[in-house]
Amino acid sequence: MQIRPILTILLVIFCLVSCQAWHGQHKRLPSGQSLLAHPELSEQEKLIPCASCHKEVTPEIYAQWYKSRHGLDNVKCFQCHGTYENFQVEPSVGRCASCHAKEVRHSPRDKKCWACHPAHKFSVHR
Amino acid sequence: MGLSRREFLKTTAALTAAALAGIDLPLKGEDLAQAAEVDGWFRGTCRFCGVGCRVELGVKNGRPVAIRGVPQSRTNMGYLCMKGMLFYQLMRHPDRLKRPLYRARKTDQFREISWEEALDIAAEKFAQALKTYGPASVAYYGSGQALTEETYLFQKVMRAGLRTNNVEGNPRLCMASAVGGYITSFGADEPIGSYADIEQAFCFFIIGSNMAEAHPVLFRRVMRRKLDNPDKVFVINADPRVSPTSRIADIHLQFEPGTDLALLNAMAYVILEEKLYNEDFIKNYCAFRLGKQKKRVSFEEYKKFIAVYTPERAADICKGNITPEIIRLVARKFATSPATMSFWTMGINQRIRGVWANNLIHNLHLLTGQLCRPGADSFSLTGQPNACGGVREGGGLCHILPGHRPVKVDKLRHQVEDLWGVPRGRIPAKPGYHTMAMFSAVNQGKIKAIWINCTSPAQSLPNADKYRKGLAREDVFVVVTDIFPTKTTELANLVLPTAFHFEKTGVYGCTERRSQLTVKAVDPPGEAKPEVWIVREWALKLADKLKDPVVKKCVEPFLGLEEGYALPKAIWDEYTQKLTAGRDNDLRGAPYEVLKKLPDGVQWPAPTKEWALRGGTYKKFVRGLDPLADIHAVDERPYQFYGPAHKDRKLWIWLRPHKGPAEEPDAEYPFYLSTGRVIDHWHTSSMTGRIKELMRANPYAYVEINPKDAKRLGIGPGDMVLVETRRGRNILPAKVYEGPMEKMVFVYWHDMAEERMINRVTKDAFDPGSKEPEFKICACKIRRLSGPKPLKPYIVRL
Repeated sequence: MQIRPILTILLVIFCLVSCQAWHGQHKRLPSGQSLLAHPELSEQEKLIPCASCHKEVTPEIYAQWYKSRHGLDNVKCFQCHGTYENFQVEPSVGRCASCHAKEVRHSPRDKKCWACHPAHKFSVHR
Repeated sequence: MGLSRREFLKTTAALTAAALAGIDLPLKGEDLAQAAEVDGWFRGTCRFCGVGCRVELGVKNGRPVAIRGVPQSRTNMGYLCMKGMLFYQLMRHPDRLKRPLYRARKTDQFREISWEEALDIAAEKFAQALKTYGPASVAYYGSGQALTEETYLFQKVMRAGLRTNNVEGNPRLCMASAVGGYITSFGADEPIGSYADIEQAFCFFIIGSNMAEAHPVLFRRVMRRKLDNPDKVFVINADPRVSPTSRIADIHLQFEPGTDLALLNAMAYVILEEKLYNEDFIKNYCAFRLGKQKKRVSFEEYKKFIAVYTPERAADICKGNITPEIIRLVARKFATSPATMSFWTMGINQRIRGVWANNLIHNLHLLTGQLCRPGADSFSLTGQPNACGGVREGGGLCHILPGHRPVKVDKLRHQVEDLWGVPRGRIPAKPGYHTMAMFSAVNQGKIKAIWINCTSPAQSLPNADKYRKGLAREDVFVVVTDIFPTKTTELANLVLPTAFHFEKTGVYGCTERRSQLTVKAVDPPGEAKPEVWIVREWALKLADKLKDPVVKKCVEPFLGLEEGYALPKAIWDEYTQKLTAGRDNDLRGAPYEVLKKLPDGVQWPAPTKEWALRGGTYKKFVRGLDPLADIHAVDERPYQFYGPAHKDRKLWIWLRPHKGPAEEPDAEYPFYLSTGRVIDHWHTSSMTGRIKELMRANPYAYVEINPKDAKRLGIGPGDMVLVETRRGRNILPAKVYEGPMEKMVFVYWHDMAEERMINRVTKDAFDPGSKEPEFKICACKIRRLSGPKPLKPYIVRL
């Protein structure tokens, strides 16, 4: 049974409902950006580094990143996910290509990097 | 349904994790945007630090749209830090300076003028000063970020045209002590080895360097070496502050600021005491030297000198976590590892005895023979992308001419005059003002016209307020060439808009003696021009006003050449083919056409094209690896130290005593204040502050305070704190964490906001040898002013 697509649809619907609940209205995003938008923040709040909040609200992801080679080498959240104007929960592979051009070129075209390298850890192949 | 933000974030994160963990989506068009949606990729070097990462700029319809690393490059292997990934955004930034701006008085508003008028004013002011007050009244202050062609042409016009050695640059503030260290220890400037040693090293000694933030892509190589060989590779990090670099360290040595000389001498003590030195290496290649007279002394005398630096005494001086046992342990690791590589930067160089500190690191390598072998090197990390190539090699400091020639050596000075075809005696025999003397002379009104290129001394000089007063004088004419408004353009009479990286062509020479070409890929905005065009046109006007054909002679070989490529190429050709010929930085084999053939340029010495096309010289002084070692060989020994400064062809082990900082804490100012960079920002943030991602990641300077001190003083995270020194005060938000040791605070120096601009309070004492200021240490007091306040990032705008 194809459970993954169903799960995806359910999760996306859930998130959109959550978004609407948070913002009061759904915001249309420019093309190419993920529908999974970041909650709206004031300009002042946008000056808080991503990791400051996410250390608290997504501690597992933060810990995975912090212990990873990306974390050790200070590859920060915005390098993959962008900032508020171009934010993508799931980055494009083009982002990876900034540093990993060769690997992206040689990777299977039907898979994203994190299909084999666990996201935020990027340690080894699954 | 209502969700709190926290709940929302959690939900989103869980969803994201699920999506990333198990759902494979087909690639959409934008996923490969970087590969598909550009008209072409143009190869060049990153604009920022001294690592020299190779990048490719993606251009579409004449606009920069993407950037990526070059996997074949031996500097970065394709990797980039966030600054390298994002700097292309600056090319079309709305704040770019696009037209010349002028005001007669510094209190007036700027008005836009034409290039013709701008260059005429610049020439008139410099000519007037020269005629009235003499050559010492004009000055050039450049940058380790200018291209080699730019620095070379500026200094040529200043020295041979305007007859002054008042040629300086911001590398005086960061690398001068490393230059002094290399020349006095090895007889030649710049490292012997290369980055390639990292993958062959077994012990890393990182002192006074937060390379994880200041040289992130190089740090990545060290990190990989350690993580791939956790039991074989040992990392020692020595720094009064625990930094992100410390995360890969096996041992962090935390000592009081300014006690480094005692620590290094004590390591030498252990090496002697436990007979860990390499007797053959010392006997064959080293000599011991003492004092200003460079008196040659014996190994026995050195042993007597070092006998007072027992680990016990050093531990007393250093404090922090330093114990005699730790000193013994790291000295043993350093000496006995199969290959030890040292790294340092400003923590060592920005000291009133920075040259000595450099010497003492080199001493450890010389005593143990940890040099000239794969993985063994004493490697100074350069801060800027072209401090080595442009300024150290290209003649960008007041005491050196192109090709590592000291100004004061008649024979070498005349050689340069002959090569330029100008009369002998045209270049003054006396070095000009070094940076701190130059800005003191501005303060005193001795300098009447100064050209500041690609740097912002109004923010980057120590004790900056003192020198801003001089720059604000109405009788000092200030020209600034830059791409954005800065704290220094605020004090200028004439602001000239320049082309940015990839909007012009030229060479950067990075930390490892590597010259790399960046070719123009896009046009500069508005009327911005490459500096080489500006200097050439200015020189022609100067020649007219001074009625001096020698000024014109300086730019004659370059007349009529197209500024985007042909002009810098001709300048590079003159510099490499004439000025580096026969010098230790021989680059005759590396004209543009050779540099373009290689993904990562050429390491000098590269006297022939054949050698250059192999990449050049990975390790200096080693026969078989360095062509000059073979040419200059005087015997059969494998290492030939032909450095121009040591006629005895020896490496010198120096007897250097401990010396503390110029200003130590006392009852009134009980804290050490140290400053440094963060990964997201470059220098004064005039560029990185204009990239949203980077500004948001570090929007303002913080004062880092040790939790024990914070508790004692009632300071909480984010509280506003007064940082006061004998020179002034800053008000900064607090970051409370186990970074700086107790009784020490640390402040980032990129912030332009007046109340957070830390160089307003740092001390301008400098090393008597290198003339490099002691930015890293002064005394301060701190006090909580209030709870957290919302702060605004600040960038100078017109």
